[in-house]
Amino acid sequence: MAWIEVQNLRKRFGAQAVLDGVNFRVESGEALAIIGRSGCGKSVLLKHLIGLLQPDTGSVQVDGENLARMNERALLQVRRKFGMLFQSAALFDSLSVAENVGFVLLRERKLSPPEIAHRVAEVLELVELGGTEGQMPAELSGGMKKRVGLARALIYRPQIVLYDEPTTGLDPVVSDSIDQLIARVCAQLKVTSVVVTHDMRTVRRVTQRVLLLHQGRIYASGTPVEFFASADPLVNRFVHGIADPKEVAL
Amino acid sequence: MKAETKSWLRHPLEGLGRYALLCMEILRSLLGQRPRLPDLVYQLYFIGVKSQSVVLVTGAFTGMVLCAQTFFQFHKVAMDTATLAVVSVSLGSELGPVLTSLMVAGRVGAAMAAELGTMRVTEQIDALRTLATHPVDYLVVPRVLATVIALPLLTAEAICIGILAAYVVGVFLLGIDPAYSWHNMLRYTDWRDILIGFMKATIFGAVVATVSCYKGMNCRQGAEGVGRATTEAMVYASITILMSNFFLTMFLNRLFYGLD
Ligand SMILES: Nc1ncnc2c1ncn2[C@@H]1O[C@H](COP(=O)(O)OP(=O)(O)O)[C@@H](O)[C@H]1O
Ligand SMILES: [Mg+2]
Repeated sequence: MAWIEVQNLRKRFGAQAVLDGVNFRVESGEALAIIGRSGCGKSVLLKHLIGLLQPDTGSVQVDGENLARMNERALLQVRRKFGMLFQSAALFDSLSVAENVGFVLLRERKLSPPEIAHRVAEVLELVELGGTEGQMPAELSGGMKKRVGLARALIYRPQIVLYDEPTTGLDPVVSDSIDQLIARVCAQLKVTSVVVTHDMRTVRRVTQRVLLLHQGRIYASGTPVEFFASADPLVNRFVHGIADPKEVAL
Repeated sequence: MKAETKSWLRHPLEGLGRYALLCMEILRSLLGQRPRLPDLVYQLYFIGVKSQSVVLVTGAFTGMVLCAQTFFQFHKVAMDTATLAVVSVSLGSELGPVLTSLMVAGRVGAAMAAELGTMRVTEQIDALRTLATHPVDYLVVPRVLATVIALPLLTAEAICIGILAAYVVGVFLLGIDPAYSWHNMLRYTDWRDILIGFMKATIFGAVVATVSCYKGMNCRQGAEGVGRATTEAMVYASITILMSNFFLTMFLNRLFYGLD
């Protein structure tokens, strides 16, 4: 079981301060949602958790190890604890589904090819894509790509799974099946999950705790139920999908 | 702000620094672990086969024009049979490696930058990193190794084709004496000229691959970023080849022929 602690995280790109003092903790085994408007820095925050970006100041600790002080090769070892599903799925487009999903195992070469093929089939079954091994990423629909991306992250049994907008851009039915899949992964594999999203349905169905990221800070935190009942105008507008009248007027 | 006004100085320096870091990471990877053979073979195949037509045409026409032009000048002073010697020395130590490398930079270098650039903007490189794989190990090292191996071979091919084409043009078109020309060519072409050519090709191979990979890995976002990375890879690699060739000629000739 693994936990993550983020302390006073700041990150700017040029003149734009994207993260401006973020503090939170992800307990081991919990499913946490991070919500926020498009472009508010959710992906940037998620990439800090796994060391893809380095903070300007502040720290990110995973099981007590500070990622901010590590070089890339040391980070590679820490990242074995993580699986990440990218917003765009980020499948390797020159490799087949089976090669994508089995990527880590094929590189490690600890298992024999038949064993790897078996594990690939198993995890593809888990994401309900059995039999697609031979296809290329370009032949898959958006929802299938996300499932393959998830299978690729789950095959080496990570302790923490990060999801970047798992349902954005998918139709409601596919979104629903992805939500169920995430919930199943959380329950069956007992992983720590961080889900970045702006889909409130995902939040309600998958996670136990929610953080709202706004202007580079954690603006509010609570359970999904508390969020839906919140009287705070900002939280309320976000949860119910209502535009700020002032912005509409402009 | 002061930092903004100095950006014309800061950006190139930052770029050089990052390029140096990439080269160090490549060395560390080469020392640390053996690259995987299938990756290397695939890249060798890609670079070797992709460049065949270009290398053949470059070699042949350079040899032909070099032969013709040399002949026209030498004929005035009745030195016809020295023509092939000039062709082989200049092809072997200068034109062969430089022109082959420039052509490879245009084809293979641009393709590498485009491929890695696309992988970067579609987050595939970030995905690699989350899968506990160093992009330098997986993407850069096989490309650099393959180019460093392939370019000297392609250069040798271009030189051979060039000399052959020059021979055909000289003997059958311009009517120089085949036996004497060939003999003179062998006599005046020093093994050191060939060695210099090979060393240059190896170095240019490293330049083409590292510059192209650097440009790809540090590509800006979007289709425009990939386009820019591609052209910049080609331009920077070509300029580096042309400029370093001068210094290499000075240095290697001093090294092999002494200071006299
Ligand atoms: N590598 C980068 N370089 C410069 N700016 C970036 C980079 N990554 C993200 N940004 C900026 O940071 C802001 C937050 O981006 P992001 O985290 O992707 O938003 P979202 O919350 O929609 O995921 C955006 O304004 C984006 O332009
Ligand atoms: Mg995002």
